[in-house]
Amino acid sequence: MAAIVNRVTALVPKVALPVARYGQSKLSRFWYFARVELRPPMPSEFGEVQKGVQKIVKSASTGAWRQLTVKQFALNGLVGLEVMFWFYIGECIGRGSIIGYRPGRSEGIPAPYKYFM
Amino acid sequence: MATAVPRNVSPLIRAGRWGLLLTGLVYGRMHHNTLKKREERIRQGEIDRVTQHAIHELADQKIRADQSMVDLAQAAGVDPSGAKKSEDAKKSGSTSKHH
Repeated sequence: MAAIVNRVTALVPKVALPVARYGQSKLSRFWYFARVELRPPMPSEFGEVQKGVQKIVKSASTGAWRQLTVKQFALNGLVGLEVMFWFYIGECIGRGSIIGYRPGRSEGIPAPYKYFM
Repeated sequence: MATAVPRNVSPLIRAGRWGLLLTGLVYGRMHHNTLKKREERIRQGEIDRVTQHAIHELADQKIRADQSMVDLAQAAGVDPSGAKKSEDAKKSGSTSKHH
């Protein structure tokens, strides 16, 4: 046990810089896409949001969604599922645990485990 | 993949994503608070139950100890109530002597 700890503490300063550079490159690539694709809607775009909702409602009411190709329908379904998943991720963040609500459980368990177990 | 360019996602999808994220956050926090209140009430009830149990246990223990003292006196051939009476008489006699 002491040997393992010593080896880890000897390894950390050597490994820290390459790990940081790898993380930096991945993060910058992610940011390059995210600053365009994941940005929250600005107030100037709320008109388009309104129009999009109306388009969906109209397509549902007139039955125009049945004229879609299967591929387009499946893609729309996947996008809708992804949007729904963000709700559940928000719920995980709000309740402070990955799996299930833990109103009284966090007292006995140390930090990284109390969000999982 | 190095030539990929970020595409403009429609504002409807982006609004849906962020709106649902915030909604989920708020809902998660609210439901967690509700459950925490319920849990606190249950926990308080359990603490009361355990306290009552401990009190009853101590009372039973005292009764058993007194009973064992009586049994010991009887086994030794001494009358327990008689010992108490002579003790009281001795006490009152000693106090009556020293006035």
